[in-house]
Amino acid sequence: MSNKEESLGHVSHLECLNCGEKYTLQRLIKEQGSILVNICYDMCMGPLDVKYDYEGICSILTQEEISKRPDTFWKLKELLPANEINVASDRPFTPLVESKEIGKKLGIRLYFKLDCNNLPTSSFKDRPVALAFNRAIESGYDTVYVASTGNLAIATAFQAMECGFKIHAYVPNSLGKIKKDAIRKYLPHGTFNELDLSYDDCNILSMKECDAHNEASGKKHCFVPNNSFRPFYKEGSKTSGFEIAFQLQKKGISGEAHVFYPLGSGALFCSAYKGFNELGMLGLSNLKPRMWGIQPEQCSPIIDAIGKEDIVPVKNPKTIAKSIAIGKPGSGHQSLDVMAKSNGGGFKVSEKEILENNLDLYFSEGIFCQFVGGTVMAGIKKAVKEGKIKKGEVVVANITGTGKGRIEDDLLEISEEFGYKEKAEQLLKEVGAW
Amino acid sequence: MVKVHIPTPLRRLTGDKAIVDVNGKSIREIIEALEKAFPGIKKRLCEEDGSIRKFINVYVGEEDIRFLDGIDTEVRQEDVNLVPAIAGG
Repeated sequence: MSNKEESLGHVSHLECLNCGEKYTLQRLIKEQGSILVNICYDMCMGPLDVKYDYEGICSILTQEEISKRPDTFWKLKELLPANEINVASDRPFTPLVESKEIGKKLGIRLYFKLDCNNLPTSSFKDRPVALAFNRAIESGYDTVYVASTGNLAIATAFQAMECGFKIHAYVPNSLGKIKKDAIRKYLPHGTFNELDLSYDDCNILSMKECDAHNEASGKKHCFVPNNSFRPFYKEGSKTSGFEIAFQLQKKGISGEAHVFYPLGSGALFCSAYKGFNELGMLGLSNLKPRMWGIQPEQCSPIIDAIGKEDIVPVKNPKTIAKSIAIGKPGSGHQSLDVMAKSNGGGFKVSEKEILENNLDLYFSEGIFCQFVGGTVMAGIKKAVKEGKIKKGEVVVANITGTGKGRIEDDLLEISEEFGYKEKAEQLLKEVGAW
Repeated sequence: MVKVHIPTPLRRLTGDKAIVDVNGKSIREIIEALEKAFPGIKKRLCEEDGSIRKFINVYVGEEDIRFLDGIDTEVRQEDVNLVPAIAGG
């Protein structure tokens, strides 16, 4: 037991998102020997959420105080589970830019939140991974296990290298060569395991190996960022919501805005919503986000569960939007709640629509992104077409990962299939990948 | 005997054992056997109506029982894994 764990910034307790059971830090240490617990172990096994002493924070985070602080990742450090800042100390906000063409064509005020720019490994995963490592450093861990379709492993490998951690990465064989190379780039102290398994199975294997290693060594020094520390890891993604709210505010936008995210596990979607809500609760933002989640038709367990009781997992999901090919979404039920509470919703889109919109984002806006970008854009067009978004309304498209060094091989393959080979070749020539 | 892998947060119910051996020919029987050996574990794994909680994935070997016969899935030589539904992010 570490004394450092008895308090954690302004965290008051952990709370089950399903049954509401509360776990104080003292209770977690007494019952589990650590605050690093990921499920409601005493009741329903549901996901845990980090709660804060909002009354105390309210007196610190005033409008005046906020306006003095630079626009960096830890701007609202009181709303993140950390005692000290150990990583990403001066990381700037990612840009929020207005659409040049697509917005006008659709008759909406469209903004792109570019997590594909400015983050160290060019995907939103740098957000939660920073929080996981911050916690790991505070708790004396030194080894990380990770399963990934690409972005998480790349972000984890980078952070492990920065912090001097050992890393063991598990990736499905189906992952493109380019993504594999991107992970290897940051693996000076680790192993890279390519497996003939789906992402979900790689995930289970990484947890087992991590567990076995901790058992064998008799002390907890290994972790899986999105699993072992999941409640703390997810908090990093709240910063997406914080940034969007502040950036829209600076552009004079308040009130209702449609915010679109791609949905894999749903964790980013739910965490960003929590971030928006916390700002609202503290009186720091008047934004009323309507949350929309988009999945590919080939892997849409969350969208298919809208209006139903349970989420039916997808076995061996196959979509070109590989970073959201998650058959058993960990935050699926919570995502459905967020859609309902925020008066938003969800759509699923075809592989062809994803490709066409990825190309449109590049040729109309100069954004070369992963296929999750095309997925989101296709969802926005669907929402406009179906009248869910009215003319002139504010829409934010979250572009959560770069295309560069990630999707070039997949882009060529799928473009040929749908008759866009020439366009894809032109894109790749222009970005210097051809 | 079937080897059942227990997730870390539930090990305080199994005397800190990560893997336990129980008798049973189906997941239903295995859960009953677990409850007998480690009282209190069933209410964590199952709803009041006896169905597996939605936040738990149960694997027989490499296969999720949702893709087999659910709680009535037969178990022979394979290990059983109880895994909290946490993935992606």
